[in-house]
Amino acid sequence: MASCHVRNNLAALRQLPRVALNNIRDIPEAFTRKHRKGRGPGSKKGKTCGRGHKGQGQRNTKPRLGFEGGNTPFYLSVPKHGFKNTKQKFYSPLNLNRLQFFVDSGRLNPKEPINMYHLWRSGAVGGRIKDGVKLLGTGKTWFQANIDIEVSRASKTAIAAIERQGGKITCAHYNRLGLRVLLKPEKFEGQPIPRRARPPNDLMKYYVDPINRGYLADPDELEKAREANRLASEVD
Amino acid sequence: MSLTSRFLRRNPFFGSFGLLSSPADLPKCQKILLPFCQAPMTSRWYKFSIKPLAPVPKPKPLDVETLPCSGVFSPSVCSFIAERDYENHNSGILAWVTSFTGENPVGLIELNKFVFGANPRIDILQRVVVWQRAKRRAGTACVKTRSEKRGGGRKPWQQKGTGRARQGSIRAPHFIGGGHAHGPKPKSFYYSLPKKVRRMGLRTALSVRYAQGDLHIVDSFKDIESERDLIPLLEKRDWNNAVLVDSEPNSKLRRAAVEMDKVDVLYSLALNVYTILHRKNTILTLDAVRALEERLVEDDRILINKFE
Repeated sequence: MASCHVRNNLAALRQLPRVALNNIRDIPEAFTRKHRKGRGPGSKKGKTCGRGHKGQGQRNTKPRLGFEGGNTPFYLSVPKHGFKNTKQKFYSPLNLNRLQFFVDSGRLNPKEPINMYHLWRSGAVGGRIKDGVKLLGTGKTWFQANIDIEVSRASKTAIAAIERQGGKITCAHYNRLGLRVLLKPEKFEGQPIPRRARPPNDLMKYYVDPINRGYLADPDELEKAREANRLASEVD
Repeated sequence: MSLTSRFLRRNPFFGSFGLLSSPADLPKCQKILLPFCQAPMTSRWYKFSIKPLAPVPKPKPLDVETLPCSGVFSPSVCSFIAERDYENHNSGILAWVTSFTGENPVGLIELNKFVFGANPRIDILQRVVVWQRAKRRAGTACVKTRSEKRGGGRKPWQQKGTGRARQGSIRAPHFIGGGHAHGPKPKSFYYSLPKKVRRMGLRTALSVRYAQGDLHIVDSFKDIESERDLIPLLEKRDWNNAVLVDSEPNSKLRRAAVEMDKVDVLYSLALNVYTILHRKNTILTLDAVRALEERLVEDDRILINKFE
């Protein structure tokens, strides 16, 4: 698919002298020229070269960052506090009212199982999903859709609202690579798909628990819990 | 809950879902080595499981006998067309193939549009040439600083009382015979140009030579034994300033061209932008064209996304 401009350029070459080492050049705008200091007043960086007159600024003898001229510096006088939790997970929130809105407007198909791929593709969960999606219970009273959904985590009220309508919810663990396989399958075309990782030890407790509808829970107990929730809603 | 989470933690194969229908089956599975569970679970296991893309399977070459050109063109030209037709078909870039010894045309071939019909980006040529010349620099320029100069340890005269300016060494930079301040020192001028740009430069150079009519294709250099064979042939066609490119290193041809100042002999892998632009004509054999196209059209295959 050589476009028109390529054809024209090649045709124009026929009229021009032979391209050789002496007549090639780069585009002048392709590179920024290095600023040459101390080359006269016209360059705006002549005389003092932008360093001002006298002292530390000119002679480059400034003290280190945080030095307060001999006082005990702030970073030494104040004790350390706090820490950074390396195991912290950032789940993108998704509320039931937004889920209902997306089902109503036809952007999510309630007849097929929904997972995080569909949520992300439809725009129900925006931006970059870092560790997964957590389903929350805002709008639980008027939630009507009957769906089969899989997310990373779900609140108890959200679980109750979905199962009240006869739906099904499972919470499944995806690590970063697993999430990438799920959300961007086109990146793994023609490659062996990596195995899915099990949850780390501290998350294993959550996903084994049938109360959380964890995907590693005993299927019988999971079914029992779902049944109990459904019966409770019918009584109300 | 029938199983404690403590047990699950110990089981190394728990992450693989598939054969395990329920957690109750786990004790049995622990003893059996499942086929997809053989790799030990390490923190970086997934890095090894991702392999590079497999090369695209090439289509089979066409039957030479069914081609309309069979019998008219020479057999080597026909086999070239049969092999490369699936990518070069209807490219619109036609080139005569002549015999190197006889000068008569032996066939007409279609060249690849991506390789021989690229946009003539003169700036890319310049960038590649500058890079080639920079990395070839020896970088051996060297001068002595005041510490490397001989002598100069003694204070030339006392600090006060002489009426002269104070000095500490006779090898200071402002002295005649003193050391150099900020002079050159041996260093490497190599820098890395992106490989895609290098390949683009080669495509551009070939396309420019084709567009200006300085690209010639011959069947082979096989009958060349010495300079006695080569020089008259080149002079007859006015190819005294040329780069001859074979598909593989050709020692006979190189020896034959040693005496000629303006003739370079290269093979397809060693072909470069600087030499193409340095010489007026570029002469490729059919095998060299095939090798170059196979190598350089790879970028186009990725662009078109022909992977299955």
